[in-house]
Amino acid sequence: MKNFKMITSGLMIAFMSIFLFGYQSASAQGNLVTVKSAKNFEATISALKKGVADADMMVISEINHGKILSMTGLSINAQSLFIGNPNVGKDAFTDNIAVGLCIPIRVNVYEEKGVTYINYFSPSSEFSSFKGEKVKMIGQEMDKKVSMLTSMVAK
Amino acid sequence: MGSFIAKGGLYKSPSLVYLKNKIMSIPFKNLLLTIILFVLAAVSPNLFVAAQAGLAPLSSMAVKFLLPSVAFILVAIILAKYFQYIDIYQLAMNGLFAGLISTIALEVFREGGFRLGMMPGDLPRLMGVLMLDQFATGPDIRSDISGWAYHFWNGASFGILFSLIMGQNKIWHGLLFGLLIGMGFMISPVVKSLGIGRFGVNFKDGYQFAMTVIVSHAAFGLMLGWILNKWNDGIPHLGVRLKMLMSIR
Repeated sequence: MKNFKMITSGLMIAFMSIFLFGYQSASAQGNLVTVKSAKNFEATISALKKGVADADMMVISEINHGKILSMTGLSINAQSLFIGNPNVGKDAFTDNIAVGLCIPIRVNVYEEKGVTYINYFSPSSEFSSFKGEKVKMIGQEMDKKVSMLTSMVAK
Repeated sequence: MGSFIAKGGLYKSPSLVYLKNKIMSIPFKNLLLTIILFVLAAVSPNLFVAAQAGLAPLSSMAVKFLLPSVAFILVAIILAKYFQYIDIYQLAMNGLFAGLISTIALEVFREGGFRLGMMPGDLPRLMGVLMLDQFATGPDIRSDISGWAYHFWNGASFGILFSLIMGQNKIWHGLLFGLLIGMGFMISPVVKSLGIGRFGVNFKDGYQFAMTVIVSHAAFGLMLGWILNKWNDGIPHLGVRLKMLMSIR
Protein backbone atom coordinates (compact mmCIF):
# COMPACT_ATOMS: atom_id res chain seq x y z
CA MET A 1 0.00 0.00 0.00
CA LYS A 2 2.84 2.31 0.95
CA ASN A 3 4.63 1.42 -2.28
CA PHE A 4 1.46 2.13 -4.26
CA LYS A 5 1.18 5.59 -2.65
CA MET A 6 4.82 6.31 -3.46
CA ILE A 7 4.32 5.23 -7.06
CA THR A 8 1.18 7.35 -7.47
CA SER A 9 2.79 10.43 -5.94
CA GLY A 10 5.86 9.88 -8.12
CA LEU A 11 3.67 9.68 -11.19
CA MET A 12 1.82 12.82 -10.11
CA ILE A 13 5.13 14.69 -9.78
CA ALA A 14 6.24 13.38 -13.17
CA PHE A 15 2.99 14.51 -14.83
CA MET A 16 3.20 17.90 -13.12
CA SER A 17 6.79 18.32 -14.33
CA ILE A 18 5.83 17.40 -17.88
CA PHE A 19 2.88 19.79 -17.70
CA LEU A 20 5.02 22.62 -16.31
CA PHE A 21 7.86 21.95 -18.77
CA GLY A 22 5.41 21.84 -21.60
CA TYR A 23 3.78 25.05 -20.44
CA GLN A 24 7.14 26.83 -20.39
CA SER A 25 8.44 25.64 -23.80
CA ALA A 26 5.25 25.81 -25.82
CA SER A 27 2.43 28.27 -25.69
CA ALA A 28 -0.80 28.48 -27.60
CA GLN A 29 -2.63 31.70 -28.43
CA GLY A 30 -5.89 30.65 -29.97
CA ASN A 31 -4.90 28.40 -32.84
CA LEU A 32 -1.33 29.62 -32.89
CA VAL A 33 1.18 27.31 -31.23
CA THR A 34 4.64 28.70 -30.43
CA VAL A 35 7.51 26.51 -29.29
CA LYS A 36 10.77 27.91 -27.95
CA SER A 37 13.81 26.14 -29.39
CA ALA A 38 16.90 25.38 -27.36
CA LYS A 39 18.94 25.40 -30.57
CA ASN A 40 20.07 28.34 -32.66
CA PHE A 41 18.23 29.29 -35.86
CA GLU A 42 20.26 27.25 -38.36
CA ALA A 43 20.36 24.19 -36.11
CA THR A 44 16.59 24.40 -35.60
CA ILE A 45 15.99 24.52 -39.36
CA SER A 46 18.32 21.56 -39.93
CA ALA A 47 16.73 19.58 -37.10
CA LEU A 48 13.26 20.39 -38.41
CA LYS A 49 14.13 19.18 -41.91
CA LYS A 50 15.56 15.97 -40.52
CA GLY A 51 12.64 15.57 -38.14
CA VAL A 52 10.15 15.98 -40.99
CA ALA A 53 11.83 13.14 -42.87
CA ASP A 54 11.90 10.98 -39.73
CA ALA A 55 8.16 11.65 -39.21
CA ASP A 56 7.33 10.17 -42.64
CA MET A 57 6.71 13.56 -44.19
CA MET A 58 8.60 15.78 -46.59
CA VAL A 59 9.42 19.44 -47.00
CA ILE A 60 7.30 20.28 -50.02
CA SER A 61 8.40 23.88 -50.29
CA GLU A 62 10.08 26.57 -48.28
CA ILE A 63 10.10 30.33 -48.07
CA ASN A 64 13.21 31.97 -46.74
CA HIS A 65 11.82 35.27 -45.48
CA GLY A 66 15.23 36.33 -44.21
CA LYS A 67 16.92 35.95 -47.59
CA ILE A 68 14.00 37.48 -49.48
CA LEU A 69 13.90 40.49 -47.19
CA SER A 70 17.67 40.90 -47.42
CA MET A 71 16.85 42.35 -50.86
CA THR A 72 15.04 45.18 -49.10
CA GLY A 73 17.94 45.79 -46.73
CA LEU A 74 16.31 44.08 -43.73
CA SER A 75 18.40 41.52 -41.87
CA ILE A 76 16.37 38.86 -40.04
CA ASN A 77 16.31 35.11 -39.51
CA ALA A 78 12.92 33.70 -40.50
CA GLN A 79 12.00 30.75 -42.68
CA SER A 80 8.79 28.83 -43.34
CA LEU A 81 8.67 25.18 -44.28
CA PHE A 82 5.64 23.63 -45.93
CA ILE A 83 5.44 20.04 -44.80
CA GLY A 84 3.18 17.17 -45.70
CA ASN A 85 2.80 13.71 -47.01
CA PRO A 86 1.31 12.87 -50.43
CA ASN A 87 -0.71 9.95 -49.08
CA VAL A 88 -2.35 11.96 -46.34
CA GLY A 89 -2.81 14.79 -48.83
CA LYS A 90 -4.57 12.44 -51.22
CA ASP A 91 -7.01 11.35 -48.50
CA ALA A 92 -7.70 14.94 -47.47
CA PHE A 93 -8.19 16.21 -51.02
CA THR A 94 -10.40 13.24 -51.85
CA ASP A 95 -12.64 14.13 -48.92
CA ASN A 96 -12.72 17.87 -49.64
CA ILE A 97 -10.85 19.43 -52.53
CA ALA A 98 -11.06 22.91 -50.97
CA VAL A 99 -8.64 21.86 -48.22
CA GLY A 100 -5.67 23.03 -50.31
CA LEU A 101 -5.91 26.33 -48.45
CA CYS A 102 -4.22 24.73 -45.43
CA ILE A 103 -2.30 21.83 -46.98
CA PRO A 104 0.67 21.47 -46.85
CA ILE A 105 1.05 22.53 -43.25
CA ARG A 106 3.16 25.59 -42.71
CA VAL A 107 5.73 25.57 -39.91
CA ASN A 108 7.57 28.82 -39.32
CA VAL A 109 10.95 29.26 -37.63
CA TYR A 110 12.17 32.67 -36.55
CA GLU A 111 14.73 34.29 -34.33
CA GLU A 112 13.81 37.09 -31.96
CA LYS A 113 16.35 38.70 -29.63
CA GLY A 114 18.70 35.76 -30.04
CA VAL A 115 16.06 33.15 -29.22
CA THR A 116 14.68 30.81 -31.86
CA TYR A 117 11.00 29.94 -31.96
CA ILE A 118 8.90 27.56 -34.03
CA ASN A 119 5.29 28.45 -34.61
CA TYR A 120 2.36 27.04 -36.53
CA PHE A 121 -1.41 27.10 -36.59
CA SER A 122 -2.79 23.87 -35.16
CA PRO A 123 -3.84 21.80 -38.17
CA SER A 124 -7.11 20.66 -36.54
CA SER A 125 -8.27 24.26 -36.11
CA GLU A 126 -7.50 25.05 -39.74
CA PHE A 127 -8.99 21.82 -41.08
CA SER A 128 -12.14 22.29 -38.99
CA SER A 129 -13.25 25.04 -41.39
CA PHE A 130 -13.82 22.40 -44.06
CA LYS A 131 -16.61 19.89 -44.39
CA GLY A 132 -15.68 16.22 -44.27
CA GLU A 133 -15.14 13.81 -41.42
CA LYS A 134 -11.90 12.51 -42.85
CA VAL A 135 -10.48 16.01 -43.18
CA LYS A 136 -11.26 16.72 -39.52
CA MET A 137 -9.73 13.41 -38.47
CA ILE A 138 -6.58 14.12 -40.48
CA GLY A 139 -6.37 17.53 -38.81
CA GLN A 140 -6.40 15.93 -35.37
CA GLU A 141 -3.76 13.40 -36.39
CA MET A 142 -1.59 16.16 -37.81
CA ASP A 143 -1.93 18.08 -34.52
CA LYS A 144 -0.23 15.23 -32.71
CA LYS A 145 2.36 14.74 -35.41
CA VAL A 146 3.37 18.37 -35.68
CA SER A 147 3.33 18.85 -31.92
CA MET A 148 5.60 15.84 -31.46
CA LEU A 149 7.86 16.99 -34.28
CA THR A 150 8.29 20.55 -33.03
CA SER A 151 8.86 19.53 -29.41
CA MET A 152 11.51 17.03 -30.55
CA VAL A 153 13.19 19.66 -32.70
CA ALA A 154 13.08 22.28 -29.93
CA LYS A 155 15.08 20.11 -27.49
CA MET B 1 16.65 37.49 -109.43
CA GLY B 2 15.38 38.97 -112.70
CA SER B 3 16.42 35.88 -114.73
CA PHE B 4 15.10 33.58 -112.03
CA ILE B 5 11.75 35.24 -112.34
CA ALA B 6 11.94 34.82 -116.12
CA LYS B 7 12.87 31.13 -115.85
CA GLY B 8 10.10 30.59 -113.37
CA GLY B 9 7.64 31.81 -115.92
CA LEU B 10 6.64 34.83 -113.94
CA TYR B 11 6.14 38.10 -115.68
CA LYS B 12 9.02 40.51 -115.77
CA SER B 13 8.08 43.42 -113.68
CA PRO B 14 10.19 46.56 -113.59
CA SER B 15 9.03 47.09 -110.03
CA LEU B 16 10.39 43.68 -108.96
CA VAL B 17 13.73 44.37 -110.57
CA TYR B 18 13.78 47.70 -108.82
CA LEU B 19 12.93 45.96 -105.54
CA LYS B 20 15.73 43.43 -106.11
CA ASN B 21 18.23 46.20 -106.67
CA LYS B 22 16.99 47.99 -103.63
CA ILE B 23 17.24 44.91 -101.42
CA MET B 24 20.77 44.17 -102.60
CA SER B 25 21.83 47.78 -102.18
CA ILE B 26 24.28 48.74 -99.46
CA PRO B 27 21.99 51.38 -97.89
CA PHE B 28 19.19 48.86 -97.53
CA LYS B 29 21.46 46.21 -95.99
CA ASN B 30 22.92 48.83 -93.72
CA LEU B 31 19.47 49.91 -92.62
CA LEU B 32 18.34 46.29 -92.24
CA LEU B 33 21.31 45.44 -90.03
CA THR B 34 20.67 48.55 -87.96
CA ILE B 35 17.02 47.61 -87.49
CA ILE B 36 17.91 44.02 -86.58
CA LEU B 37 20.42 45.19 -83.98
CA PHE B 38 17.95 47.76 -82.73
CA VAL B 39 15.18 45.20 -82.24
CA LEU B 40 17.54 42.68 -80.62
CA ALA B 41 18.92 45.30 -78.22
CA ALA B 42 15.40 46.30 -77.23
CA VAL B 43 14.56 42.76 -76.09
CA SER B 44 16.52 42.64 -72.83
CA PRO B 45 15.29 45.82 -71.09
CA ASN B 46 11.68 44.96 -71.89
CA LEU B 47 11.73 41.45 -70.42
CA PHE B 48 11.83 42.51 -66.77
CA VAL B 49 8.99 44.95 -67.44
CA ALA B 50 6.96 42.25 -69.22
CA ALA B 51 7.60 39.80 -66.37
CA GLN B 52 6.47 42.29 -63.75
CA ALA B 53 3.38 43.04 -65.85
CA GLY B 54 2.50 39.38 -65.40
CA LEU B 55 2.92 38.36 -69.05
CA ALA B 56 5.29 35.47 -68.30
CA PRO B 57 7.89 34.52 -65.69
CA LEU B 58 11.28 36.13 -66.20
CA SER B 59 12.88 32.70 -65.88
CA SER B 60 11.15 31.38 -68.99
CA MET B 61 11.57 34.61 -70.95
CA ALA B 62 15.28 34.61 -70.15
CA VAL B 63 15.64 31.25 -71.90
CA LYS B 64 13.27 31.99 -74.79
CA PHE B 65 14.23 35.58 -75.54
CA LEU B 66 17.13 36.97 -73.52
CA LEU B 67 19.81 34.39 -74.27
CA PRO B 68 18.94 34.17 -78.00
CA SER B 69 18.90 37.98 -78.29
CA VAL B 70 22.35 38.20 -76.68
CA ALA B 71 23.68 35.54 -79.05
CA PHE B 72 22.13 37.18 -82.12
CA ILE B 73 23.48 40.61 -81.15
CA LEU B 74 26.98 39.18 -80.94
CA VAL B 75 26.50 37.38 -84.29
CA ALA B 76 25.16 40.58 -85.90
CA ILE B 77 28.17 42.54 -84.64
CA ILE B 78 30.55 39.89 -85.98
CA LEU B 79 28.71 39.91 -89.35
CA ALA B 80 28.91 43.71 -89.47
CA LYS B 81 32.65 43.48 -89.01
CA TYR B 82 33.01 40.60 -91.53
CA PHE B 83 30.96 42.31 -94.25
CA GLN B 84 32.71 45.64 -93.67
CA TYR B 85 29.75 47.60 -92.30
CA ILE B 86 32.32 49.41 -90.25
CA ASP B 87 30.02 52.21 -89.10
CA ILE B 88 27.49 49.73 -87.65
CA TYR B 89 30.24 47.60 -86.14
CA GLN B 90 31.79 50.62 -84.45
CA LEU B 91 28.49 52.03 -83.27
CA ALA B 92 27.35 48.72 -81.80
CA MET B 93 30.64 47.91 -80.09
CA ASN B 94 31.05 51.43 -78.77
CA GLY B 95 27.46 51.45 -77.55
CA LEU B 96 27.86 48.09 -75.86
CA PHE B 97 30.98 49.02 -73.92
CA ALA B 98 29.82 52.58 -73.21
CA GLY B 99 26.58 51.11 -71.81
CA LEU B 100 28.49 48.74 -69.56
CA ILE B 101 30.72 51.52 -68.22
CA SER B 102 27.77 53.88 -67.78
CA THR B 103 25.97 51.26 -65.70
CA ILE B 104 28.82 51.54 -63.19
CA ALA B 105 28.07 55.28 -62.96
CA LEU B 106 24.38 54.46 -62.43
CA GLU B 107 25.30 51.92 -59.76
CA VAL B 108 27.26 54.44 -57.70
CA PHE B 109 24.02 56.34 -57.07
CA ARG B 110 21.54 53.44 -57.12
CA GLU B 111 23.52 51.28 -54.71
CA GLY B 112 24.28 54.31 -52.55
CA GLY B 113 20.59 55.23 -52.53
CA PHE B 114 19.62 51.68 -51.62
CA ARG B 115 22.07 51.56 -48.73
CA LEU B 116 20.73 54.87 -47.45
CA GLY B 117 17.21 53.40 -47.51
CA MET B 118 16.08 55.50 -50.45
CA MET B 119 15.13 52.49 -52.60
CA PRO B 120 12.60 49.82 -51.60
CA GLY B 121 14.72 46.96 -52.86
CA ASP B 122 17.90 45.77 -54.50
CA LEU B 123 16.73 45.37 -58.10
CA PRO B 124 19.69 43.43 -59.56
CA ARG B 125 19.26 40.83 -56.80
CA LEU B 126 15.51 40.73 -57.44
CA MET B 127 16.18 40.21 -61.16
CA GLY B 128 18.48 37.33 -60.24
CA VAL B 129 15.97 35.41 -58.12
CA LEU B 130 13.27 35.98 -60.74
CA MET B 131 15.56 34.83 -63.55
CA LEU B 132 16.44 31.62 -61.73
CA ASP B 133 12.89 31.19 -60.43
CA GLN B 134 14.01 31.03 -56.81
CA PHE B 135 12.18 33.93 -55.20
CA ALA B 136 10.94 31.71 -52.35
CA THR B 137 14.37 30.58 -51.27
CA GLY B 138 15.87 34.02 -51.79
CA PRO B 139 19.09 35.21 -53.42
CA ASP B 140 22.38 33.33 -53.45
CA ILE B 141 25.67 33.75 -55.30
CA ARG B 142 24.32 32.19 -58.50
CA SER B 143 21.22 34.39 -58.60
CA ASP B 144 23.24 37.47 -57.67
CA ILE B 145 25.65 36.85 -60.56
CA SER B 146 22.71 36.30 -62.96
CA GLY B 147 20.90 39.40 -61.75
CA TRP B 148 23.93 41.64 -61.97
CA ALA B 149 24.85 40.26 -65.40
CA TYR B 150 21.31 40.97 -66.61
CA HIS B 151 21.41 44.46 -65.11
CA PHE B 152 24.68 45.27 -66.87
CA TRP B 153 23.47 43.75 -70.12
CA ASN B 154 20.46 46.07 -69.94
CA GLY B 155 22.91 48.95 -69.68
CA ALA B 156 24.82 47.62 -72.70
CA SER B 157 21.57 47.23 -74.65
CA PHE B 158 20.57 50.83 -73.97
CA GLY B 159 24.07 51.82 -75.03
CA ILE B 160 23.71 49.99 -78.36
CA LEU B 161 20.28 51.55 -78.99
CA PHE B 162 21.53 55.05 -78.26
CA SER B 163 24.73 54.66 -80.24
CA LEU B 164 22.97 53.26 -83.33
CA ILE B 165 20.55 56.15 -83.45
CA MET B 166 22.68 59.05 -82.33
CA GLY B 167 26.17 58.28 -83.62
CA GLN B 168 28.44 61.02 -82.32
CA ASN B 169 25.97 62.68 -80.04
CA LYS B 170 26.08 65.73 -77.87
CA ILE B 171 26.52 65.01 -74.16
CA TRP B 172 23.12 66.46 -73.29
CA HIS B 173 21.52 63.94 -75.69
CA GLY B 174 22.86 61.22 -73.39
CA LEU B 175 21.49 63.00 -70.33
CA LEU B 176 18.07 63.25 -71.97
CA PHE B 177 18.20 59.57 -72.95
CA GLY B 178 19.11 58.54 -69.39
CA LEU B 179 16.30 60.64 -67.93
CA LEU B 180 13.81 59.13 -70.40
CA ILE B 181 14.84 55.62 -69.31
CA GLY B 182 14.43 56.63 -65.65
CA MET B 183 11.01 58.15 -66.30
CA GLY B 184 9.92 55.07 -68.25
CA PHE B 185 11.09 52.88 -65.38
CA MET B 186 9.14 54.87 -62.80
CA ILE B 187 5.85 54.44 -64.64
CA SER B 188 6.54 50.82 -65.61
CA PRO B 189 4.90 47.72 -64.09
CA VAL B 190 8.19 47.07 -62.26
CA VAL B 191 7.60 49.97 -59.90
CA LYS B 192 3.91 49.10 -59.62
CA SER B 193 4.80 45.56 -58.59
CA LEU B 194 7.01 46.90 -55.79
CA GLY B 195 3.87 48.36 -54.24
CA ILE B 196 5.17 51.92 -54.03
CA GLY B 197 2.96 53.59 -56.65
CA ARG B 198 3.99 55.34 -59.84
CA PHE B 199 7.16 57.42 -59.28
CA GLY B 200 7.39 55.79 -55.85
CA VAL B 201 5.03 58.32 -54.26
CA ASN B 202 3.92 55.78 -51.64
CA PHE B 203 7.48 55.03 -50.52
CA LYS B 204 8.72 56.91 -47.45
CA ASP B 205 8.17 60.66 -47.95
CA GLY B 206 7.33 60.16 -51.61
CA TYR B 207 10.47 61.73 -53.14
CA GLN B 208 13.39 59.49 -52.14
CA PHE B 209 12.77 56.81 -54.75
CA ALA B 210 12.19 59.26 -57.61
CA MET B 211 15.23 61.25 -56.62
CA THR B 212 17.50 58.18 -56.57
CA VAL B 213 16.16 56.94 -59.91
CA ILE B 214 16.52 60.35 -61.58
CA VAL B 215 20.03 60.99 -60.26
CA SER B 216 21.28 57.48 -61.09
CA HIS B 217 19.81 57.55 -64.62
CA ALA B 218 21.14 61.06 -65.18
CA ALA B 219 24.58 59.72 -64.24
CA PHE B 220 24.08 56.84 -66.69
CA GLY B 221 23.01 59.17 -69.48
CA LEU B 222 25.77 61.70 -68.89
CA MET B 223 28.44 59.02 -68.85
CA LEU B 224 26.98 57.37 -71.97
CA GLY B 225 26.75 60.71 -73.77
CA TRP B 226 30.28 61.68 -72.80
CA ILE B 227 31.87 58.37 -73.83
CA LEU B 228 30.01 58.09 -77.14
CA ASN B 229 30.78 61.71 -77.92
CA LYS B 230 34.46 60.69 -77.82
CA TRP B 231 34.26 57.18 -79.27
CA ASN B 232 31.79 57.75 -82.12
CA ASP B 233 33.99 60.52 -83.46
CA GLY B 234 32.82 61.65 -86.91
CA ILE B 235 29.90 59.21 -87.20
CA PRO B 236 26.66 61.17 -87.68
CA HIS B 237 23.21 60.16 -86.47
CA LEU B 238 21.07 57.57 -88.26
CA GLY B 239 19.19 60.02 -90.48
CA VAL B 240 22.35 61.60 -91.88
CA ARG B 241 24.00 58.19 -92.33
CA LEU B 242 21.09 56.94 -94.38
CA LYS B 243 21.05 60.08 -96.52
CA MET B 244 24.77 59.69 -97.18
CA LEU B 245 24.37 56.03 -98.08
CA MET B 246 21.48 56.80 -100.42
CA SER B 247 23.54 59.46 -102.18
CA ILE B 248 26.41 56.97 -102.70
CA ARG B 249 23.98 54.68 -104.50
